[in-house]
Amino acid sequence: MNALRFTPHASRVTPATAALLAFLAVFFGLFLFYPLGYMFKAAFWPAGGFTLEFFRLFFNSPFQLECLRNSFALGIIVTALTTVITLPVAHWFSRYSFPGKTLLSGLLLVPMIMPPFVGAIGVKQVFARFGSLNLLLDKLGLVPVENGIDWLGAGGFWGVVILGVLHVYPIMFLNVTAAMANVDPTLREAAENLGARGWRLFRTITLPLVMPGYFAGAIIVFIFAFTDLGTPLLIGYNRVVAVQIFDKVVEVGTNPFAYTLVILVLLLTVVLFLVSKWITGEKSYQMMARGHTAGAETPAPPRLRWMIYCGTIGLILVSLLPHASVVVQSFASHWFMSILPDQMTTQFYGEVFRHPLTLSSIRNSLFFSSLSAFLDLVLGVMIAWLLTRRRVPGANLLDAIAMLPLALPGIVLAFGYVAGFNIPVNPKSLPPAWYQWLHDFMDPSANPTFLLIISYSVRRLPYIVRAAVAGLQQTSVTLEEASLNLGASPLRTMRKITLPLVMANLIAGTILTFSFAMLEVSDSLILAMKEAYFPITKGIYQLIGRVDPNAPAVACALGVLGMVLLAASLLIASKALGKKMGQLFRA
Amino acid sequence: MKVSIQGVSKSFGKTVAVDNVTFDIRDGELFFLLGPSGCGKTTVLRLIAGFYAPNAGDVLFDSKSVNNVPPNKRNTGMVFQNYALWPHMTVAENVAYGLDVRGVSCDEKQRRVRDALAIVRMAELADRSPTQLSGGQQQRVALARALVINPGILLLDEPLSNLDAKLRLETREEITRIHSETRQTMLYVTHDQKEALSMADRIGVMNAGRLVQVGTPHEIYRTPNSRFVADFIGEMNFIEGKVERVTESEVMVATAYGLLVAQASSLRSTSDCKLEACATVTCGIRPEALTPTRGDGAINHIHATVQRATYLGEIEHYTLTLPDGQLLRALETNPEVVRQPGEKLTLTVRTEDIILLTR
Repeated sequence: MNALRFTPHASRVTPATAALLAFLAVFFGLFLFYPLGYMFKAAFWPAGGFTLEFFRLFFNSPFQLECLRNSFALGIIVTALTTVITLPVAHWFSRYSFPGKTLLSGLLLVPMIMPPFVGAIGVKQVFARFGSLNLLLDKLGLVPVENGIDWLGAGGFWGVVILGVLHVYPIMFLNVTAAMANVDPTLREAAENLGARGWRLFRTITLPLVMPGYFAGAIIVFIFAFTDLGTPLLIGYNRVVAVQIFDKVVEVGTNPFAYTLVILVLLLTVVLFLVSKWITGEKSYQMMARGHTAGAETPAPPRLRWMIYCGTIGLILVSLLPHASVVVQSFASHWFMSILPDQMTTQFYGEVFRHPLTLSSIRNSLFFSSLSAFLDLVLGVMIAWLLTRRRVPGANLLDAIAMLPLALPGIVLAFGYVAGFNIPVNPKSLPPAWYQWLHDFMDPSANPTFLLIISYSVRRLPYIVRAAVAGLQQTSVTLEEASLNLGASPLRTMRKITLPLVMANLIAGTILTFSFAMLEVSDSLILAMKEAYFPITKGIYQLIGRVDPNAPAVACALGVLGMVLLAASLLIASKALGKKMGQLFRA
Repeated sequence: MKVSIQGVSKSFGKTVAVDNVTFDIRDGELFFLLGPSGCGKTTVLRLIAGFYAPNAGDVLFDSKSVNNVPPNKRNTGMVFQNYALWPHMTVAENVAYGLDVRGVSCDEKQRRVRDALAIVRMAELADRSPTQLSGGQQQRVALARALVINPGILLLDEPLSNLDAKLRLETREEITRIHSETRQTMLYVTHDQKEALSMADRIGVMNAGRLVQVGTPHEIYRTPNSRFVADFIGEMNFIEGKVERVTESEVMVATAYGLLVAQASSLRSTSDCKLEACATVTCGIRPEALTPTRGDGAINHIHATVQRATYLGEIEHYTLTLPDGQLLRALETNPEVVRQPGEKLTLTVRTEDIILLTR
């Protein structure tokens, strides 16, 4: 019965397993389902009885409808542009081999790790009405600066679109490339053999087979663009759903519109996912009899090779432009109404470590991120172990729940935390000690530390679960059985055999969660309400808004530090994980 | 240690993997479980190791039930089919692991690891990583790792299936040698009949979750109790017939190709029924029991036509056609003449080489 490899005491729920499951149920119940449920209740049953009044008001408000329309437009256009950019690149990378391919495919992913939120500062400097580009055009005598081109377009709309596209195209690229690589080359060969080639071959064979992978990527891209908070906020394009939700955080107790907005976003997400599941479920063809994948890649002919180089490198350069300008700005002592800064200085990096706001925000971010990464490590190992080593009842459900945050917009969860863990104290009446403690510990308006750590963990949990599951699946169960067979207890087996073998995956997953937490935007902006608890991202946002002429440069220096940290940790993670890195970002 | 399997059944969902199996493994015995893939033999092994709990029946170690003993408390040593060597430990650390678990003192541990590696002739490679070893070397480390803890029973799960043909022969002899040196109780699971016949003290043949026959290699080969065993182990020609007469010592069977006489003691059947005249029986004759002859007789002589002759050097393989078209296989050692397709041949078989099967 070699086909049936069951784990020790298969399908028997041991006390330890039951305890783990109970713990996870409480954790997800409290920090995932309770906040979501709370918002549902507040939106539909604000005073006990069911009502659609707020939705009626919402759909009668021209302003709210405009925000909704704008967000939809952002989502659709970003998705469409991403598709157009990604398809040829993915086609090249899945079909052809050429020198430098590994390096280029690595560089293509770099924009994903650079938060678009930080890039927005740079974009403004370059593309604003009196930004570098218009000044350059003026100097060249092409366009006079007085009626310079509105690059950011429609109040910043196109700026948000471009930053969004440049940030998320790697996710689409990873999904589509994987899907294309999965198409058995013999299927294409069969079509060629029957006389189809070129566009017809692509349209009739490759495209239908790649569709499920494309949809998986497109959904993530759409939801990202629809719910991104940081970029519109910094560009100043405020008539979108995400910014409206953010603006209403302060009036969480009084303004029901916020719940309506959040619930709409949530419902939209759910619907999109159901639609994508339905489409991929209908269209997901099991690849029967996989051919030799080695034969899938052919060397690119010279002319095509140059096209690939130009296209890919151009894309990488353009997508790093915003971040490059952030770097320049962080060194610029005076940059106003000029193409490039007049003077360069390193003083702002010194200031980052002296300024009380930046200093405390770096400290806070390090603290929050380390704890959340540790929490993720513990949760991730638990879940992955239950999924791969115990056939627990409801394993599929557990898997789905652990992956849910991948699709859940950050603003939805963060807003749910603010609303659900709002534990008000009346300063006049002395509350009982436990209630006061709960307020001090849980209520984000009093101290967001706990909820920030939890929200970072929940948001990034899918990455570490994937990393740990991948490690455990690659590690043969017999290695653990051999240890049990020689008399080691299950705990000792875990410590001596299982953990050392999946260590690389765990380290990589932990680093990933840590670095994403460091530059997490929506949770940080929404949950951190007092300056003493600001993490780096909220610190940057705060600095940008200051009147102090040096503040933006300090913000940029802080942003550069953040990017360096992120890049370094991802480099370490990819060293530890090797080629499997890409798998973590796929839907 | 003596191991008893008593009425053990195990199913996975609706699939019955092991169906009411009973047998004993004697102390110091090298016992084989032999059967086609999917017959449940590995499941029996894993039931003994404790990785599965039986749905019914008992697993007894020295007459004590171990049904509720977890795998890590059973003191069995298992050699996994894929060896399952831990890649993050050296060869010596792999072997020492079970001793660490048992809290063996440092000096004794070193000595026993050295001895165990010496037994499998791997002493020089103690500090290597398992990933640097060849398949055969990994196999021997896995063996040392299981042996070093002095297990009550050594469990070998198709240990040679990942080795090439030459290494397989060498390792076969190696295991036989280790068994004769240590008299370690062993259960060896395989689908390779040659391994089983050449190494086993006793063999249990399994089919579709059931234990079909238990016996020494000689018993299994010479007197299979069913058509399945006869067919699975070695080759066998089956000739249908009707019992004509039963005497004290002989059974006469009328077949389409003449009268066959078998020894009455050769009658094997799952139900030890008495043979009556006119009962339908199957005569089993091994290819090597059929010898070409020039003579002619009334009994135990079969006439056939050579369809194909395959020359293998020391022996010649014949595929022959009986008058009604049924095929017959025969062997001739050191053949006198080269026989051509189409040639008529008379074959003879000794009375004691005919196996009577009632089903």
